[in-house]
Amino acid sequence: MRASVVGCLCFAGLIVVAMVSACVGRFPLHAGQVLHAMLAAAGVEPGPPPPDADMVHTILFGARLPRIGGAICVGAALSVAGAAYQAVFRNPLVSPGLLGVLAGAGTGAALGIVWGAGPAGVAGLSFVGGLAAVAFGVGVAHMFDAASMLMLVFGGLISSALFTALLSLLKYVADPQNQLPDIVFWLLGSLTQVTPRALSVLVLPVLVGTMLLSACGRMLDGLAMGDEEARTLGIPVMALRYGVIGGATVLAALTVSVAGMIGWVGLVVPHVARLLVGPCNMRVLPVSACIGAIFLLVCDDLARSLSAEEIPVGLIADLLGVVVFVSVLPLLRRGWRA
Amino acid sequence: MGALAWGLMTGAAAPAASARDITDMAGTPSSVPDHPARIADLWFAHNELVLMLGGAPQIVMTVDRPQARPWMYQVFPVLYQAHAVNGPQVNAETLLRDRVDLVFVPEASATIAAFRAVGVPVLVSSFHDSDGLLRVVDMTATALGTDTARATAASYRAMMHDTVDNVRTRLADLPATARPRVVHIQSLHPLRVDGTDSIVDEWITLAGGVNAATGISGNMKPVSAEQVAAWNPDVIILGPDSGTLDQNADGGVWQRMAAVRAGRVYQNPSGVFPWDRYGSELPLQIRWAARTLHPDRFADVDMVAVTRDFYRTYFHYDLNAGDAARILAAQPPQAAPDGSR
Amino acid sequence: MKADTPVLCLDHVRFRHGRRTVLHDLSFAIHAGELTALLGPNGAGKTTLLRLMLGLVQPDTGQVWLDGRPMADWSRREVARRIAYVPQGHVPLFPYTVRDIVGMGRLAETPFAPSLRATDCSAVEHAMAELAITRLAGRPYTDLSGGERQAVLLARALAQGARTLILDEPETGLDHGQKQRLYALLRRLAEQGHAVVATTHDPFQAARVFDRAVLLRDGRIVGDGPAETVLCADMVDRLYAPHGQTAI
Repeated sequence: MRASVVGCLCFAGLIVVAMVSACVGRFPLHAGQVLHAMLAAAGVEPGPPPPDADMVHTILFGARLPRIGGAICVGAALSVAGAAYQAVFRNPLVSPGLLGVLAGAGTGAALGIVWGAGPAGVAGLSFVGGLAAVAFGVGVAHMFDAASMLMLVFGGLISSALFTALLSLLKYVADPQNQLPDIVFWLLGSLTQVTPRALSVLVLPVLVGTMLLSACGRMLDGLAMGDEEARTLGIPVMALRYGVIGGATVLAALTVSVAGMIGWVGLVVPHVARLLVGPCNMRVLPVSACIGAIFLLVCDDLARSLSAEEIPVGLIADLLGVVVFVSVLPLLRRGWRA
Repeated sequence: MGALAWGLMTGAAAPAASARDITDMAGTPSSVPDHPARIADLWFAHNELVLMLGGAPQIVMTVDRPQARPWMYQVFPVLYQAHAVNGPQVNAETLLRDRVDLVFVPEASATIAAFRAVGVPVLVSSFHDSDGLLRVVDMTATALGTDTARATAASYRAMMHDTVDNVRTRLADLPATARPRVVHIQSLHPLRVDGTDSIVDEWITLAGGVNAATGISGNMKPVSAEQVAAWNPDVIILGPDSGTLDQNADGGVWQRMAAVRAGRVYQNPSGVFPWDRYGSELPLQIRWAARTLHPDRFADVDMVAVTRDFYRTYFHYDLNAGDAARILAAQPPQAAPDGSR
Repeated sequence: MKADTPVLCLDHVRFRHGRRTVLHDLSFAIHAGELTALLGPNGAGKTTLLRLMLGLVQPDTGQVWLDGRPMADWSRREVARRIAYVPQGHVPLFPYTVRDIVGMGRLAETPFAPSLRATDCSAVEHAMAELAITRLAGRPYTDLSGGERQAVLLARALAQGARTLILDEPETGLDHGQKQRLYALLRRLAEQGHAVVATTHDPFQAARVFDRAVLLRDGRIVGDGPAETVLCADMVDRLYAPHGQTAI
């Protein structure tokens, strides 16, 4: 089947890009050293260890691999969340920030910075903030009409507005010398703070979340036909909708708590995935994860090696995302019907 | 309309009705009263200059808070009477309400037009190097209009030149290879360093070092730990408020650097203002840095004595040896036994 | 071939929408092997009746029975395995292929399977063959004509494997030949033991094709019996007569 072949190719592509990323960085290493260090770590010793093997090992496993792992997890999580949201809302122009998770997570992080909570505290508050924002938006929607999708979007709008305002308040209150630049830098999105411990917290939820959401893929296809028709096909519409929103929100909040605000990935990547493997969500979700991981890997490679100064990866993701989106737009029109 | 009238009235009711034109660092002349009595200083780094020039009692509005600058408030407790505000974007009416008659700001921004529109003189006081610092000191002394201020400014200028000359002479025959490569870290989470085109770069060079942060231009630029490892500095200087360096972080990358292996990781002193960033304690910073980078050539320099001397002469404060040591270790003043301040 | 126990039974059902009563004290039953037409003027309550029969809404009073149990006692999945719905064609946003759409009919059986199992695949292929749309299997659903889309939705309903089929105005947009094929198919399904209910706006065709006709007007059943008898000219005129003096 064509789609499976494409899916395997995407995964293989991810492996290749990851290997290339390991060779890229500000510390001058060439591919041979990297390869040697990787083989040595795997227990294979192709020859006598070169003189600076220790340093190579440290750079590779201490500085580069955590970021590569972080980029893969964050890129995959954002793309899957975006694809899931687009399926649930039956709208290909929806991004994970629709219900306010990004604004809420940003506010949580800013709160952590203003309180001086330290990196772990900031991440934790960011995660909680993201979930709180979505809960608030869903709550608002429930006050009016629990079943209406339009109300859900409306609730998300209100939640985003509220948390953006709170974020602005925090920016105003923050100490302009130390805290404010921290907040601004954090908001631009960056993988500099991905430590191996943060990565270990990220990997399992991203993997499990992607698998669970993909398992709902066929039911999400049925949902595309409309709520009532989906019910007649045997789909528990409300449970599916809120379950998928909950899962996608957790993934999105996790990424923000680790890497700040990275936009566009959740919006653009599902389109590319649909272009490659068709609209069936059972395939679109995992392929989105692969492509999102590749995309963010490329962005982060650029962010950490273009100049001595670290460029916020969110910036590059935005710019590159727009370029990709616009250049592929004519092809994408085949992907959906207006 | 009422605010404008009020501004004109207070301007006219200032103690010295006459005024002089002073050109600020942005090149704009402003009409400043002869002896400004109520000063708003909206740049963190500039407050110290006013304090040094004897203007402490005149400061009614400041952006430096006691939690952030404990030594500043310890040495100049009269600052507690000033109104602490959050940033340079102050409402013009607040200035009028506090009857401010002179404002110092870090840069020309949209808000200062509002200040000037209500008749409050504004002086842009930014500087990026020691030369700029001296010019701002002179400008501030002229603005304050007192003999003490002018004398202090002249004395400070002479002292700065002497310090630089002294350090230069001792390092005159230093070969280029003996200059240690230094990375100055402004913060650890996120990791930020200072590059060229900054006052940090200037004092590193003056003190006989080389700024290892090649490719970085400006202050407080984010970099990755890998990049610092690629520079492999001989000396790492941690700015105050940067946090503690966990040498096991980033998978042990820090432990591989020459500076960490040789134990040459130093905490930058911080007193009334952080010594390393645009404060009037720059001469102290230069001497401290020179002594840290080249201990053999500056073995006779007793930093505690030098610090106490500076504080006595320029801050008119009797600093005891213990407090001087705390300042050199970038530690805040000891809490008073009864827990106050 | 009629079975004795009804598959779907409405028992003194009343449904209100806001303050307006849409359906008044409705009672009737559907049996396996029966081909039933549901007719009535616009606004008579046909759509609400369909939604009640599908279990999408609950009646205010009275009970809907499915296979001997109250409708509310069945889960969504179980209802979907017993009743299949063929809506009026609409176009989804994404270009699912015909095979994808027909495959959705198997969701009630296997909601989580990543790919269709053998039983699912054969049900899908069989349904497409029955509707003669196998040649369209790989085409995007969004590219098809109205009649072809109707056939796809019908195939999906067949793939669901449910015993009861409910169709909403299935002849809309079909040409004469397609309509004849549709009626032949419905006939075949009834003979195989399915219970088939279809709403229609064509009383004369209905009289010829369907076994039984149920006439709905102003939320009440005004006729229920063999199609030929119930759909005589007189009854049809009265069914569609305007209220009061309005022209339409």
